Amino acid sequence: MRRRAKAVDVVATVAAFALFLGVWHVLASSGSYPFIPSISQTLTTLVTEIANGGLLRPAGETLQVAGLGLLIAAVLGIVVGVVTGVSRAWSQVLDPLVNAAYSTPIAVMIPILGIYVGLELRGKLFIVVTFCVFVIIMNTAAGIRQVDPGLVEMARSLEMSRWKVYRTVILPGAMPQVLTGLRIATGRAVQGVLVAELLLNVSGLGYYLVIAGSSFDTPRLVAGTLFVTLLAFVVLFVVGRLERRALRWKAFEAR
Amino acid sequence: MSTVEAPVGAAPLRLRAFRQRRRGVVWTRRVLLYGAILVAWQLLALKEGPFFLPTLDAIAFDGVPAVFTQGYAGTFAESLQQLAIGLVICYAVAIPLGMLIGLSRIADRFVMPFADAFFITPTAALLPLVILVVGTGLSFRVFVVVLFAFYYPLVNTAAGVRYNVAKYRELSDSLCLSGPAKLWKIVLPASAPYVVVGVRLGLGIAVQGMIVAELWVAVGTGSLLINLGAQRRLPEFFALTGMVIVLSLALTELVRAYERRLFARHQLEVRLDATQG
Amino acid sequence: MTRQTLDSLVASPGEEATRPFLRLDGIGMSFPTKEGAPGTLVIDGLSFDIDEGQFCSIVGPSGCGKSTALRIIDGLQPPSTGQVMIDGQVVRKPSLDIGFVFQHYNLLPWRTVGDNVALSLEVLGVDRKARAERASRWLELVGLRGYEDHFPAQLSGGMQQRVGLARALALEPRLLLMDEPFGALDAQTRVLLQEQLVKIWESRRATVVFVTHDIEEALFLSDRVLVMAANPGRVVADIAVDFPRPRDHALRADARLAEMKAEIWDLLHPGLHQ
Repeated sequence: MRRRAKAVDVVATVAAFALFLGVWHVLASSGSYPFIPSISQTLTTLVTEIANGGLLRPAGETLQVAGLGLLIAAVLGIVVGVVTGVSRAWSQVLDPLVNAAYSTPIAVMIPILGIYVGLELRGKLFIVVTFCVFVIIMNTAAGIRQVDPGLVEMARSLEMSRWKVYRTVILPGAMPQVLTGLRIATGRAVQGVLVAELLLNVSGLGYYLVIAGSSFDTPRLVAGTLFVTLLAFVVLFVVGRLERRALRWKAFEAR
Repeated sequence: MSTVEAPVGAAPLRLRAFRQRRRGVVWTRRVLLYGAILVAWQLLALKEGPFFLPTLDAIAFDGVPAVFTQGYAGTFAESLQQLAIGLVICYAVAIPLGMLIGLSRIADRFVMPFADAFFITPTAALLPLVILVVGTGLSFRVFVVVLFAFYYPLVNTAAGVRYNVAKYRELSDSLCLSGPAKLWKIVLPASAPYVVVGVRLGLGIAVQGMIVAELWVAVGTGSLLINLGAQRRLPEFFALTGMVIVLSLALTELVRAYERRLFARHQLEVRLDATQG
Repeated sequence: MTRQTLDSLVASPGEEATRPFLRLDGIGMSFPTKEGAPGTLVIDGLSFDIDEGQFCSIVGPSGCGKSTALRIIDGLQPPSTGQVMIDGQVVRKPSLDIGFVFQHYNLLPWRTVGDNVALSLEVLGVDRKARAERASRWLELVGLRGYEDHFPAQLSGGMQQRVGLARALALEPRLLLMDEPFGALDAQTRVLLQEQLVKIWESRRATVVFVTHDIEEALFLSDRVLVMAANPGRVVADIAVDFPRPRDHALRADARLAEMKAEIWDLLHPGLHQ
């Protein structure tokens, strides 16, 4: 029964891909959608652009900005998250702000970004950081709050210093949720950097796609979009793996 | 028949008074911090001048009225209309499809690759392609909203349905409930909270997507914001932005309030939505 | 299988049943572990008969398969070997003649208490107007009169389980199966609910198969106790419990009850004294 279910899974997934490729091929080869590049043309362009660095260079820039933004957001977010997780007073005061900021569309501020942080790297970093930081704060705080108070009591009863309690009980206990937050934030960082590149038109993959689009270079556009999807997939896959490795001990915990 | 068990929910008087006093403390702290932020804003605005940061009174007395007299509110209403149309279409397709995915493993394996692929791709990156396909007309914004928001109601509905089919399997089997009756009486009502979570998450993302799209193509409210920003008409800019933010927050909070009630009614634990990815 | 109302189920004294009401014949259950590998044998060769109107408990330690056996009787789980017969008919799937009370209540939290009980009536096809009134009657029987418009979240565990019982009773089933119904409750609530259950049963006798790990509970409630051991699950003793009815709290202090309890304990845990 299990074997049959697995076979169905594979068949259905393959069928989905086949459908996608099939529809693409049909639409491309029919005369009515001239702007849809054929599958072979797209793949050729993709390979060529990767080989000659046309895609890899912007990809590098994009990833660098995303990475740097994520790093800044991580530092800020974890600090604020720990504070709100530990101190009820700060939590009461900051949580509404964090929640509101998380829910607001950051993009509205873009038209005046130039006044405050500029339109170059700082502007892009600002967008990336604001995309990620609130998720990190919320998850870090949640992680700290769900640490088993019994463990904390036990540590205190062993007369550990405050710092030691943090280091041995609270921070490791919060780590899984913090890492989850970082993983989600990675996805959002990639989203944020592309929004920034789209609207600030500076460099990187977003810029690549905009140029391809505005010059009606559909093979490059489609190939580039596929590349972005692949890149995002790889990034998230790697981050997911890292998260799982770091949390190996959690898997044995009885729920 | 007398019962020893007391129904849940009768808090003794002393505890209630304690909670009220605590609430006072909380709000005092909030007022202090938020007040400090506003004061800092005002001071900075006065120091740096109106082309850097508008003063709070400028926003309130110049910006806000201008939003109405200059017709910005009308443009904003039109953007909202597009958003609403997009959301209705999105939910009307995503929720039933989500139910199908939750019920049928085959449907799940067939549809999810597409949904996951869209979710992983930064939606901003899809916009150049979308423009080429749909053009920048009326349907563009609706299409963007549907694209951005689709994943959340789809996945959350599916998760809810899947979970409840398993949870209530023995009960429905023992009552000989199956098929449409089981769906209607048990699985669908049980999944309502999950559907609402998906609706709320989709709403938030849809607003973001709408704004990005409008900014990029320079239509509607987005183009307004670009112009106001370029002309450094900051009181009006902040007034309009404030309105957009307040409205988006209000909508989300409204849904969230209903969601909280549903979760309580269904005896479910409320989880932080940021942790749902 | 024709349906009978609860009232007609009282067995007349001296009447010989031509065939048993509930029969388990060589029931075995094994769950597959890996592809092709023989599974764990959870139940082996379970065979016993239960007469109509009897309150029969199955007592055993955790993991002996008693809950699985109950599900097999209901038709929720098909056995690997053997068959279950009710009134001569083989049970292949659940039917509305069998009511099931779950350990974790399984109430629908978005429905009121009254509507939860009415679920059984809906399934029976009772028309809308009659439902509320009949649901109320069942709730009154379990001591929850007036709670029709409450939601499960507002009730304590014991009250929620009583709603579960009312829902099962509302089917007016020929057979009532109860799977450790008081297992999720604290000790005092358990005692109260046992006494309530025994009163309800004594006023409207149905055939009951009651699964529990609590030996005293089984002896207090039942006419008959089947003792099940684990690995694999099998019946190791079939004990007639002939304390007079109606039963009340005083029975718990009875010396004979304590003796039987110790006997059953020894059966299940030879060498260990409670």
